[in-house]
Amino acid sequence: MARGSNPFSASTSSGTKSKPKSTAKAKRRLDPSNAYTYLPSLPKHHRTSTAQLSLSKDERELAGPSRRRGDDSDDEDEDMQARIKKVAMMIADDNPQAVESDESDIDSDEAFGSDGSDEERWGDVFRQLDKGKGKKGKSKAQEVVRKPAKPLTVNLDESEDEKVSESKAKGKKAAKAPSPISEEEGDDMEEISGEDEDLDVDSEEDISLNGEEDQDADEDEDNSDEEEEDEDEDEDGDLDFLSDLSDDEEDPEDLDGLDAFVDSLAATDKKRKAGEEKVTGEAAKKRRVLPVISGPGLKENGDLALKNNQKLDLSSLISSHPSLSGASALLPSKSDKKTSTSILKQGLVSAPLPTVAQDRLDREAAYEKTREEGQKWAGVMKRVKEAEHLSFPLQGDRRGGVKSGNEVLAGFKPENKLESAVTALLNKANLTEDNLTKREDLALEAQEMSLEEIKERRDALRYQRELMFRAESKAKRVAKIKSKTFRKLARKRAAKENPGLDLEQLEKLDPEAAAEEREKLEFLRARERATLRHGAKSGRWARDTGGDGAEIEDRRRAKEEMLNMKEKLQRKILGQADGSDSESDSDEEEGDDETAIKTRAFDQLASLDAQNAANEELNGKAGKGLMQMAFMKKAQDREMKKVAQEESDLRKEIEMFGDERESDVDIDSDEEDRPSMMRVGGNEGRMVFSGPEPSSSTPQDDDISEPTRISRPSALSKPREATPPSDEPFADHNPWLTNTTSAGPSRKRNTLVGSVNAKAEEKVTRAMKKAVKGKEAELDDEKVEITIEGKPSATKLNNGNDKNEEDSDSENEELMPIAGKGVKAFKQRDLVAEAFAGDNVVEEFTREKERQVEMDAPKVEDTSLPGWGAWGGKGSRKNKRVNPKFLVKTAGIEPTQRKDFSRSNVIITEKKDKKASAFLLQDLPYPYTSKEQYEKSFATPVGSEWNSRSGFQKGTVPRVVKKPGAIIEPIRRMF
Amino acid sequence: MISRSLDDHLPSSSTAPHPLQRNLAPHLHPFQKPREYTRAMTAVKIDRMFAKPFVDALGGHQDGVYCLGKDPRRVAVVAGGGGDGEVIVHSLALRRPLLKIPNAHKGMVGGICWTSEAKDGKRGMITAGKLDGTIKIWRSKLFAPGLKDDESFIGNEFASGNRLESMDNLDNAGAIGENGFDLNENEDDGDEEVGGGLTMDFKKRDRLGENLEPTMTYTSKNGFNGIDHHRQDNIFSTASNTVQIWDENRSNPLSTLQFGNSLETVTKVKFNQSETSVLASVGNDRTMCLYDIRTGKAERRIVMQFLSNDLSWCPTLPTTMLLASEDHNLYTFDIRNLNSPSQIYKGHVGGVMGCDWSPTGEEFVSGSYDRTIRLWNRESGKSRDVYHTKRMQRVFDVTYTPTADFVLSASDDGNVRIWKSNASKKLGPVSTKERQSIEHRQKLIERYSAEKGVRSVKERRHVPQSIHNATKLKREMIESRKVKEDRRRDHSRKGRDKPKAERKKTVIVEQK
Repeated sequence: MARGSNPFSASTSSGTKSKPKSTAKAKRRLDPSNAYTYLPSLPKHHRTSTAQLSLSKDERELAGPSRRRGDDSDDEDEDMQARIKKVAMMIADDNPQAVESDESDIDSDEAFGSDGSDEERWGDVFRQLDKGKGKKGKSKAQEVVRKPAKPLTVNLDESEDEKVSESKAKGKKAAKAPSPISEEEGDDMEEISGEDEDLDVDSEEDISLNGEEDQDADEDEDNSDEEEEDEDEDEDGDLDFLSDLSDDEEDPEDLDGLDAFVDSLAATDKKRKAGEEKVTGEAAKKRRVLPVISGPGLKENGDLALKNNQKLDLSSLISSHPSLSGASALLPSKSDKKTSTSILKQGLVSAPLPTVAQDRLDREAAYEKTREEGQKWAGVMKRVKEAEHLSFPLQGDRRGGVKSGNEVLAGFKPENKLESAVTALLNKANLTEDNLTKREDLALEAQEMSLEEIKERRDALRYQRELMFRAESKAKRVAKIKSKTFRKLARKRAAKENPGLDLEQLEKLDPEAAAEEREKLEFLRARERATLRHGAKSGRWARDTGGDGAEIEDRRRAKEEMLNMKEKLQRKILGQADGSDSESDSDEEEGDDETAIKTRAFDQLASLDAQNAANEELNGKAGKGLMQMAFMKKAQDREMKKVAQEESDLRKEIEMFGDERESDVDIDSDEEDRPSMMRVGGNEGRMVFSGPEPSSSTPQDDDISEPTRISRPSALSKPREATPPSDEPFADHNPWLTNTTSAGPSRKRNTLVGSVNAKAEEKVTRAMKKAVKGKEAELDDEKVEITIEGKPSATKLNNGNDKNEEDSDSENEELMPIAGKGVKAFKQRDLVAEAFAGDNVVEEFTREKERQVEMDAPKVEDTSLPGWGAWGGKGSRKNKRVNPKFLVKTAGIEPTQRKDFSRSNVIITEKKDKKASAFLLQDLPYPYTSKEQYEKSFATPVGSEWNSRSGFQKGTVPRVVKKPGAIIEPIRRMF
Repeated sequence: MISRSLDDHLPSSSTAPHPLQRNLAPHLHPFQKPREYTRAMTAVKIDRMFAKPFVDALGGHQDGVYCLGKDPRRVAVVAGGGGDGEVIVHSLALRRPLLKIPNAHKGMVGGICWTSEAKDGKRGMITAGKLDGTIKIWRSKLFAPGLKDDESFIGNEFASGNRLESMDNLDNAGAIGENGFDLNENEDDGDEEVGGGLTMDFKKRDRLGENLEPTMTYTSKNGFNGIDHHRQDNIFSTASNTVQIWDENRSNPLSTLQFGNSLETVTKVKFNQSETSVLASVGNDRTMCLYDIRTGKAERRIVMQFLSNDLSWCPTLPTTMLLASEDHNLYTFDIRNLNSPSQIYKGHVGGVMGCDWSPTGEEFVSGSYDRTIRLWNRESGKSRDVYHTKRMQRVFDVTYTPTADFVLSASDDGNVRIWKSNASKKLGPVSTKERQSIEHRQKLIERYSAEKGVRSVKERRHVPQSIHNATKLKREMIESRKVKEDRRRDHSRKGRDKPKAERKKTVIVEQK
């Protein structure tokens, strides 16, 4: 709070009060200027020893919360007692208020006992407390709570300062009378109150009162602070209080031995109560006693007088008389008192500062203001400084430039005849701007629509638009399905028109086409090979299976089986994959079948229907009043009908497409009639007509069980794919019987499986071939090792069969001439060697490099002459160490440090290029912070040879561009 | 037969770029760096070859010219104040005086500034006498020939919308002499004529000048050393032993600003052009003081090692202020942080008498007692260029023209000299192609300016022997001083006197 530290506070006492606690006591006694010190003339011995004792203790205890907490161990028993007492009081009258009042009594009693000076000390103490702990005086709420207690005070002969505390002090005095312990107890209570904020409210009131006396000038300022802080701390305080209470409740149980105290306390409490109600008897007696105890009444009066100078007000007068006690409640409370005191204080205006100091303060404030203004420019200045290009004028004209249309219109005045004529006409027709706006306003008014209504209507419109959009999107989807289906069907049809002949037949008819076809098949096979990594034909296992004839047969079968299995699995995988994305557009391989295409189309349509139905349902529910409106419904129905019509047309068309087909797919067309009839039913119909299919193909049964609608098409389409092969190709076509020719399927669906089979078969044969060939190749190699002449016949045979093998072989031959070619290769090699005989380029290069490295390396030359600087003769030892001054060192570059150290094929010279060094910089130029940065600035050339026209122009724009001959204005404030 | 389409070789329209007949493949243009370096070298040499900064000297003063007052609203009008109290308004475009006022003041002219408005076709000029302690406002059509039809603009035309018309008129007024009105038509008007006839002969003009009476005269006990006008309002400030703020329409100062009770001579005062209520002054007590007319207070003052002769506010960086110091240096200060300069500019070998920012805020010019003018970049502590002529004596004031193209200097020899702000810049129209090649050359120079060869050509300046010697001497002195200081430091207790940064030495104290 630093109450005493304000140099402008007028009270003289404040200075002494703010002094450190330790010296405060002594000073107070000695310093005559201190209003609260005892006058030296007054006898000190009037003070009772107990009072002094208690005071000192108080001081010690209240010096600071931290210290007190530190001393807890010392005061532990006292603490205990205090708590016990408190509990006892609570027991006596289970009213926390009473407890508080008790404490306050105790406080005031101490103050009472120790005279005015004690109070002052209390003030000091609490001030220090406040400073130290940050727990400052009362919160407003607390004050409010406290106020009612004040009227109870009856201080006829005491200082009005003490009135509050004093009123409670009666009880305390009563407590004091019965036992000397109560004094201690009081101290203890003080401790507690110091710790618990709520509990020490009363004492804090004391503080505040003292504070008012002492530092009224500051009080007003401090109040706000205090209150703030109090608000912060109130919670803590309350919590502490509660916890303390709980503690207190537990304590008595543990300490049964202190019943005596409790009893006595209960007694005192009663007394206190009595004292509160009737304020005369005992208290008066005690007051009479007091001067004797604590000092002469004169002194007290003097004290009071001093205080009254500052603090006397109506409330104190009223409260001083018991009959008026009730009236004091009506008086303005403490805060008002403060203002009144501050008004009093206003009489003591601090002397104005010397002009020099005042001017200085003013200047500083003014400068701060200017600096702030300057700071506002910071952003602008930063931009100006960092700008890459400044083009003046920097700021455009605010009003200049192009005017807006409204501005032009507003300032329009007819100037010539024509214009005035036109204006006149417009005026006649009431088409001027003003008239138009007026009319618009009128129209709006006429509609008499509230804001809600307009909003509602807008919502309705929006909804309708959305519905339209729905219909539109559905139509689009239908169109898409239609186009796709038809395209696919047409393709199929076209394929059927000129049915896929067998390759053999085709060869006869049209060899070129056949070749094409074969190529296509080859391509497909190649692709398959590329995608199937674990093909049985290329694996190690397949290669190894080159054994005896009997074994080969077995393994062949095994392979066959494996391939079969793989094929099957693959088909399954593909089927599932197909099922998972029914809407995928690029499923041409699966959708080969016409029926499949059709069914998919139908399914898609059905799903669309279902979706729509769901939407409609939703609309029906959500559309509340709006969707039930006739026009909305109508519009929707109309749209939907249109789409439905389209849809049905499409169905029919698709069916028609199917009707022209051959007999074997008639069943399908029959089936497809059903959905067209059961269109309303949608999905259910689809379920029915696809019923019989799965029975024909058992392996796909599990697929049907999939519940999702999307998977249904796959379930339908797959059997169709799968069944036909079961009729024909499995029956009459045994892939293993035909060797090389691929099965030329008459129909596409046959080719699907047939080709797969053919592929599998081919794989096997090729694997076998390769195995055989591998063996032969080995043999061949062996042969080469042995007999140089002649080519192995096996390779020859193979060459005719397999092109690839030949290629690889030929490559091998090129790579290692020894392998297959024999003498020729050797000859070639010899020839080359002969031609470049004695041409040891590499060696020479390495030698050259070594020489270079050696030359560049740092050298140490020993220039010492033998015999010089050494002892000679018999018995002389030769000094191995050479005097370093005879060692001439030549700087160079270490071989390991060379740039070409790790590059064996190049020599990079490490010599300094004098000419180039002329262009090198010693220091980094100013704006750059690193070498790299600087070099980067040269990365892009400036000239037009290396830049586009615009690049060149952009790259050469100067930093400052200004209009020739135009005045450049200083920058203008735009904020 | 060879047939060529013109479309391949001619631009499609008059404004379109010429079709490119070049292969841009990089491998066809090798040795990029060496070639560019050579070009940069050539460019910098060309630049130096064409560096002819001196344009003209405007004579007519009977005594030395000690102050200049440029009209900030017009391209080419400047007034020079002589040592004998004569004020001559020069037209830079015509390179001849528009009006001579022989006895504007008794004794030296302290300062000249222009009002922020023109009324009835008249332009107002305010002059302050250094010795006679008077301020005079002169209004005449002769100041603004070409300002037609009695057009007027008001002071805050920048802020108001009517700037376009009036500003254009003012820009041109006095710039193009041929636009001037014929005097003979209005001869019966009296001494002054509408539009300030430029066609009239010298004698008549001189007579008009002699007879011209100030429209307003303010008197004071103290002489005025400087004067400056508010950017928009009808307010001007003067520097005597205090700083005073005057209203054009009142005979007494609006306010008197002084720091504390200081009554030392204030030599110059300048309004900030952007933060318009802020002004600063320099005084003979080596101080620079900051004022604000809103608070009506002297706000802060710094005391420097040497006194400052002139100051100028940066037009694009409103918090930046330039001080021309007697210690041969210039200093920029940021008013937000006055305890040290933000940059020190060294180069002159005599006290710097005047300085002025370029309207672009990127450069400034300074004139010195060493008979040279130097041009500086804001960011660099070394001067970009130095101008001098044999006949130019001590330079007392310099100023940039409002277009930033020219620099004017007022010197002891009684001439106002016009210099190009860019020595090698071509005057007159420049074709696009030429401009591009100039820009290209500038870019190359800029890019390679760190390289030794380019730099040596670029930075080499011939200066008069005296300056050269003085520079050498100064360098030696500084060097020896430094050596001495080092030695002293070496032989004193460690850490006793630490070397102090140059910037920290400048300001002795910042007074609050």
